[in-house]
Amino acid sequence: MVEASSSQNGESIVSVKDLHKVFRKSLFKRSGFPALRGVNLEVGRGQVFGLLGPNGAGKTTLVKILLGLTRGWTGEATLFGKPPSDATSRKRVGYLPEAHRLPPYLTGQQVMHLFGMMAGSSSERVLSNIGPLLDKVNMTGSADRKIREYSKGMQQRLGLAQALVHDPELVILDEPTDGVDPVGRASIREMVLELKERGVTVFINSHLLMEVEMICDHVVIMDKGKILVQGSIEELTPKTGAVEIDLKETPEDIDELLSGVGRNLQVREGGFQLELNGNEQDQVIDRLRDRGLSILAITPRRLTLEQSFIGLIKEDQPGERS
Amino acid sequence: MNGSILRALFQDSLQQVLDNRVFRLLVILTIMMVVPSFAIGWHPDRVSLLWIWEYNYSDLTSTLGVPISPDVRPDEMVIQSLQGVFIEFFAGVFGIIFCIAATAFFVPRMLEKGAADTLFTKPVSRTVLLLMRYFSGLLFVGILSTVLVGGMWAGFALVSGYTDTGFMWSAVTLVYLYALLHAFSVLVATVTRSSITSILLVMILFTFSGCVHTGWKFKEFANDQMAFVDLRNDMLQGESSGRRGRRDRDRLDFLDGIGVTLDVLHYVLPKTSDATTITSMLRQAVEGTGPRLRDKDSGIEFLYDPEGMELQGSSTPEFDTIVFWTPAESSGAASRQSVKLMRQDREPDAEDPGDKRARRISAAQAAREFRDQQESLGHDAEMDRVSFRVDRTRRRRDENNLIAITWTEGTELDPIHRSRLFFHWAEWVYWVDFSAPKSIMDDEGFEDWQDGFFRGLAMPDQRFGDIDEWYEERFGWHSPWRFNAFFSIFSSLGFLSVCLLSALFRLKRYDL
Repeated sequence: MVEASSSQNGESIVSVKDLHKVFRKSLFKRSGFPALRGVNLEVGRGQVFGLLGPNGAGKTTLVKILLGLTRGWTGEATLFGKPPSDATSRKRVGYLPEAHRLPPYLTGQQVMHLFGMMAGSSSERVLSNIGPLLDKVNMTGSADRKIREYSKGMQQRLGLAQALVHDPELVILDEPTDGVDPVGRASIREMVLELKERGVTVFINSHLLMEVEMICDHVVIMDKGKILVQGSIEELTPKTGAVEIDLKETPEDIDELLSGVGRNLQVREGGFQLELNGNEQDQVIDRLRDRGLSILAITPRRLTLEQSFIGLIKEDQPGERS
Repeated sequence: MNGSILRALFQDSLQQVLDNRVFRLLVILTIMMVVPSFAIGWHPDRVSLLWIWEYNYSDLTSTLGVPISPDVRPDEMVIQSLQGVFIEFFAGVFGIIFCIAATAFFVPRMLEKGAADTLFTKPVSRTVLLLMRYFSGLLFVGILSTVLVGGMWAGFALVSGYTDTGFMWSAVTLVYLYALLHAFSVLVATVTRSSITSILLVMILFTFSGCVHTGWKFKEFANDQMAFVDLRNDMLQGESSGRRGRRDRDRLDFLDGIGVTLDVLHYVLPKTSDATTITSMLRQAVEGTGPRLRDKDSGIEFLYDPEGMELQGSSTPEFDTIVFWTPAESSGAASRQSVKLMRQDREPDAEDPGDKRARRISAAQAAREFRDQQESLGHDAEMDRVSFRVDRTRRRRDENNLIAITWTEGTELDPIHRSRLFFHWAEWVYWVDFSAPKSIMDDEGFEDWQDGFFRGLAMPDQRFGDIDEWYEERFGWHSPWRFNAFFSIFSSLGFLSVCLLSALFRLKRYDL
């Protein structure tokens, strides 16, 4: 059992200890499908926390337990130090569920206004937040249209805006970029980073590893109801030993020039990639400089989060995934 | 939960209703039902269309081939009929069914995956969220009922000059009827999350509870008749036939099981069929149109005081044996008017209990004896059999015979009209004495005075008459609990509460 602790400044916003949840097959059967198996988790204030895992890993179940949507679990779970059933702690949370449905009879503006008020904020405060938020998600022009007229991407963007309209201290986003076009994704990323700057804790549950890699500073990877690994992005994406070198001009005899140094040379226009050991990087630089070649950049290659993720899942499920 | 949350929940409910396409359609239909009350003016002597064209009732009725009795006010009759058709029939049956169908998806939509997640993570309890969805339905019907009832009331008041404050109760009872069914709809929707199932089961409940109620009324009616037959047999044929009658009844014991089942179902299920009766009772209470006087023994009612007279010595509309009316004006000749009502047992002599039917006196016998008595006193008394049209339930009129003895008293300078009118009902003979100076009332006026009073005479229903009328006569605010309006309302509200509590119980255990 791996404990995921990411509390930076001592204040724990989300705390989960030895959390178990079994979905029973029927009312009278005690056995069933174990969705969570002893999960331990801590999320500190101001973090952008990524929760990753394949389908059925238990990510959404964990989120729903934290928000009081699911019952019948064992262990300990707190939100702002209070149990999930406590409504006051939910006032401080903004939540964008996966595949959410907003009331089709309301306009975008009305959703923002009413949902903000339902979260306990005053009408005036909510109204002052609506305009800037709609601007950020590029929905100002559609704010007076009914939700039923919105595309999936528009609903997703509005869903995100409604999760933020009451100035929550913790924002839980379940697949926030699902169905959103690239421009929309970029604006969502910007919003998340902006929240981080303001000290808002963001808890992201996503399949899109690239995005998690780009915006999260702490990541947990789950599978089969347990945490496989956790850490910062750097910790989860180790260096591969390969180096990417960009040159002003790539000579035709680069193979000969670098013969005997490094392995798996891959030449491309404007540079090459090479696996190096120890002081081989100095030798490569010396040979390039002796030839008078201008080196533009040297970048050590890392595993992508996706590569780490797939590797971990394969390890956890030998034979199940190819 | 603060005011901001409550305001948001209310606005959400309102938007849900206003955006509903069936609601908009029903609003249009409702307005179409209201418009005629503004477009057509029903006056005592004529009908006006769009304030321009005017027609006589006789023109209309001759076209339709339906005569209007001279005893009724045609404008009131038409307006009350229209109110009954639109409120009890269109709104009370079809309207409610439409509304149930249109609002059945309120709860299932809230419980859809994605929608429930968003709502249930707000700092609002599930109890409040469910009750607000229930409230949305009430708002839906409340707005429509208000538009319909308020609109019709305003139309009739402004154009026809007919004001009927009690009519407003119809809006409340429409919401009450819908509230009972909607609670069950919410329960089914919470359990099944299916609006189709909810609609179907509510329709079944609506029909089934109506059938149960009718069956129960029939059972009670039959029991009442059997008790009457037993009593009658005992009285007319002695103990032996009474025992035989009871033995016959023993054969019906197998029906007891059905009777108990009907009792249980009737008491448990919402009494939707009582809504119309409750409405008319509430209207009576508001308008003060209840009987002026009621004989609690026989059930006979007098709806009005004699014109210009006030009931004396009766703070409750019930009397035992004798009642007086005195003039409203205490000066002049009019102050010498008087009306007196008396009642006598038809079997005053108990010397020969074996021949009861033969000795029961009739109104005609009592009148003849009285005429002889007057003639022996030297009065020139005339005896007439008069067929007065009397109200029975104020909806259906029926003939009833009164025997009138009229004579004149007083001096030549100051003659006084006198009359005594006899009628009998069940175990009693009634007579009413009228007295008025001729100086203030000619012969025709004296007859009209009596006639006006007897128009308000309402006889109880016949023993083997219509079940609905039999039930309406027993149903009331002070009736025994089986026929008690408060019991009907509170037991129905009990059903409503059980439905909502069960729905809440289920909702709180939802795992999303």
